[in-house]
Amino acid sequence: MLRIENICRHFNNVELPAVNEVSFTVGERELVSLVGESGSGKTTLLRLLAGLEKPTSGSIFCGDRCFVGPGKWLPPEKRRVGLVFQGGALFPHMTATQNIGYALGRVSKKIAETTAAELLERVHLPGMGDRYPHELSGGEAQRVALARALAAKPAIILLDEPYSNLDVSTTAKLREEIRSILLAEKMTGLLVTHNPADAQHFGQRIAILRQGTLQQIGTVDEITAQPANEYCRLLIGEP
Amino acid sequence: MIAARAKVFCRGLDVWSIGAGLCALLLLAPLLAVFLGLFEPSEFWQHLSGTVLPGYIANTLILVVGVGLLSIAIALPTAWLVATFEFPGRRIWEWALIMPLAVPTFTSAFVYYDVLTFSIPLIVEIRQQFGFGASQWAERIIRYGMLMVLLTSVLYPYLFICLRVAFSREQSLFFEAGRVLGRSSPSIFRKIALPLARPALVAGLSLIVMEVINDYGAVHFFGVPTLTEGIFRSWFGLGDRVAGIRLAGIMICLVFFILALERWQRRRKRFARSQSNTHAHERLKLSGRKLLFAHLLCALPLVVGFIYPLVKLTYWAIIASNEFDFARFLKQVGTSLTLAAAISVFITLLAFFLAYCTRLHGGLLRRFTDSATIGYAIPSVVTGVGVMILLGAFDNSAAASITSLTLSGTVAAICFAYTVRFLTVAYMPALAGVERTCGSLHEVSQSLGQSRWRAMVQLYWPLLKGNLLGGGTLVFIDLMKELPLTLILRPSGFETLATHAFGFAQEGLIYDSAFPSLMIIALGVWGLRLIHRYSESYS
Repeated sequence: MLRIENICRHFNNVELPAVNEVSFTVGERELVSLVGESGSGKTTLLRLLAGLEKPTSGSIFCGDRCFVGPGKWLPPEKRRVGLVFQGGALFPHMTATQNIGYALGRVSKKIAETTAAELLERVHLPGMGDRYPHELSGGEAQRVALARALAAKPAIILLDEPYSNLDVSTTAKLREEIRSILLAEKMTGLLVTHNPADAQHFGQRIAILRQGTLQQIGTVDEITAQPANEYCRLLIGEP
Repeated sequence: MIAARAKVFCRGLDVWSIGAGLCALLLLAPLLAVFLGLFEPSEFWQHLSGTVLPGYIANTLILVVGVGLLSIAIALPTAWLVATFEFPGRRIWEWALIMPLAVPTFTSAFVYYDVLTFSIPLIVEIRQQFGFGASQWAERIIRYGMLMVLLTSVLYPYLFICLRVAFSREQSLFFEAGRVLGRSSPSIFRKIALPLARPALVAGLSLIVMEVINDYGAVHFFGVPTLTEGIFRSWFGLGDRVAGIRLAGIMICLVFFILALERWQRRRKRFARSQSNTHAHERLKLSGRKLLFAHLLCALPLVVGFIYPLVKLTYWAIIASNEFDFARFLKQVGTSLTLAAAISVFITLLAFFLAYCTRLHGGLLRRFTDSATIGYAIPSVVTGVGVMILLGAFDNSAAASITSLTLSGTVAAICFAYTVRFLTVAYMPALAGVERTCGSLHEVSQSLGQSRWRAMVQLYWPLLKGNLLGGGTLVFIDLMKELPLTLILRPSGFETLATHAFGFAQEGLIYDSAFPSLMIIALGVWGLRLIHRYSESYS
C-alpha cells in the first residue's frame, strides 16, 4: 500500500539529516506505529508522506501512485492522504460540521450536514456538530479532526501525536476509540508517537526511529524476541 | 461586604499601583473633560446641526468606507503574495511595501493635488454636454476619488503589516490542514485564510479608520470638510468651544459604533489559534506570468504611495534650493528631532512602567490602565480639545493665578497631548512582551528575596528592550508626522517639520514644502527599516 524507499531530508544549516535513508512499507488495512524520542525525525517523516515537506532524495509510493520520485513530486492536495495534526488543527472559525464539510469539497449544504452528522456519529460525537473548536474538549477535538480526515476519503490516515496534551484517562479512552474506528473503516494507518505504550497499543507493527534512521520494524513479539540493538530492546523489547 | 472589598483594595495599594493609577488618571483627564463639556450650552450648535453637520458626517463616512475598501483591495493580495508564495524579490517587497507609511498624508496631498488639473478638460466637456449641475458632481467625484486614492496609498501599510503577520505566522498550520484535505490555494484563501485573518483585518482597518477620521492636512487641502475640519472651523472660526466638543463626541461615537458592530457580528466565533506550527511551511513557488503579475501587483502601491511622491518632492526641492532659507529649516529640524526623540523616550519609559505595574497588580489596575491608553483610538483633534479644556481650567484655577503658572500654549501642553495620544503605540508592544516573554518573573524574583525594582531593571528591562525599541520608534515616526495636535496646541512661533511643510503649502509655496517633507520621509524610512531589522532578527 505505502512504500517508502531511501527517503532523506536535510535541513539548511544542520549537519545531520532529519530523516536518513528510511525505507519501509505499510500494507493495505494495516496499522503501523512510528515511535521515537523528540527530534528523532518522526514528524518530519510524516510531513514528507503528507507532502508538506519535500525530501532531499528517495521515493514514496501509495498503491500504484508515485508521491515522490526522481523528478516527480505530487502536491499534498492531490495525494489523498488524511493527516490528523497534533492538537487537531481544527479551523477555529468553523463549527465541527463546517470543519468536516470543508473536507467534502463542493457538495450541497444538505449533503455536507448529513455526511458530517454521520461521521460525527461514527467518532462517537452525535449532536456535537454545532460546536466550535473552543467549545470542545481535547479528546473531542481530536475525534472531530479524525472525522474531518475521514471525510476526504483518504487512501491512508496519518496521525501525528494525537494523544499529546491529553490527560491519562482521556488518552486511554481515545486510543481505544481511534484504533477501533480505523479498523471499522478498514483504513490503513500510520501513527507517530513518542510513547512506546501508545505505539504498542495502536500498531500491528512498530517502526523505531532514532536520529533520523530507522532502527527496526516488526511486531512487538519480533522486536522483543530479536531487538536490532540495545535502544530497541530498551524501548520495546524489555519486558 | 463593601468594607471587606475596600480592605482588600487598600491592602493591594503600594507605590507601584498608586503611581500607575495616578498616571492613568492623568491620561484619562482630557477625555473626561471632553465628555463633561458635551453638556454645556452651545451658541451655534443648532445652526451647525441644521446646516453643515450632516455633510461633515457624510464626508467622513464616505472617506472611511472608500479608503477602507481600497486598502483591502491593495493590502489583501499583496500580503497574501509575500506571506504564502516564494518568488525572487519577495523579501524586498516584504519591507518595501511598508515604506509608504513614512509619507505623511498631507505631503501626499500636496504631491497629488495638481493631478486634479488634468481632469479640467473632462469637467468642461461634461458641463457643455450635461449642464452645470452634472459638472459639479463630476468635479466632486474626481476630487473625493483622488483624496481616497492618496489616503489609501499611504495608509494601506497598516493593514498590510497586520495581514502579512496573520498569513505567515499564525495561519500556516491551517493552510497545511487545508492542503492535506485536498483543497486548492484559492479555496484555502477564501474559506480559511480570509475568515481567519478577520481579527488582523479589523485591527489594520481600525488603524486606517482612525487615521482617516483624524486627518486634517489632506482633507483641508482637498477642500473636503470632515468632522475634524468641522472642529477646527467651529472652535477657531466661530469661537464656539462646545460645538467643537460635541463634534468630537460624534467622532468618538462613530469610532466605538464601528468597533462594537464588528464585535457583535463576531459573536461566538473565534479566530485565534490555540496551537503552534513548529515546522516552517513550504511556500508555493511562482514563475512565468504569475511571477510577472506578482511583481506588478507589489510595484503599483509602492510607486503611487512612495516612489512618485519621493521623485516629485526631490524635483521640487531642487527647484526651491536656490532661495530656500536653510538656516531656518535646520533650526526646525533641530526642534522637531529633539522634541520627537525626547517625547518618544519618555513615552516608551512610561509605557514600560505601566506595563510592569499591570503585571504586578493586574485586575482593576489593568482595566484602568487599559482604558487610559485608548488615546490612539481618539482622533488627535479631540485629544487636543481635551487638553486645552483641562489646561485652561488649570490656568484659571486659584492655585495657578497665585503662582502665575500658565500651561496653555506652551511646549509642555504639546508634550502632554502627545503622551495622551501616542502612549498606546508604545504600551501595546510593552504589554505583549510582559505577558508573552516575561511570564511571572517578578514572582520568581520575589521568591528569591529580591525587590520589585530590581526585577524591573534586571529582568524585565533586558527582556523587553526589543519590544520597547520597536514601540518607541513607531512613536517617533508618528510624532514626526503629527499635524493637528501641534496646530491646535503650539505656542506662537513654534514650528515642527510637519507644521512648517503644511504652512508653506497653505501659503502656496509648494516647492518650499519639499525639504521638510523629504526630511520627515527620510526619518520615517530610517525608523521603519530599524523596526523591520529588529522584527526579522526577533522572528
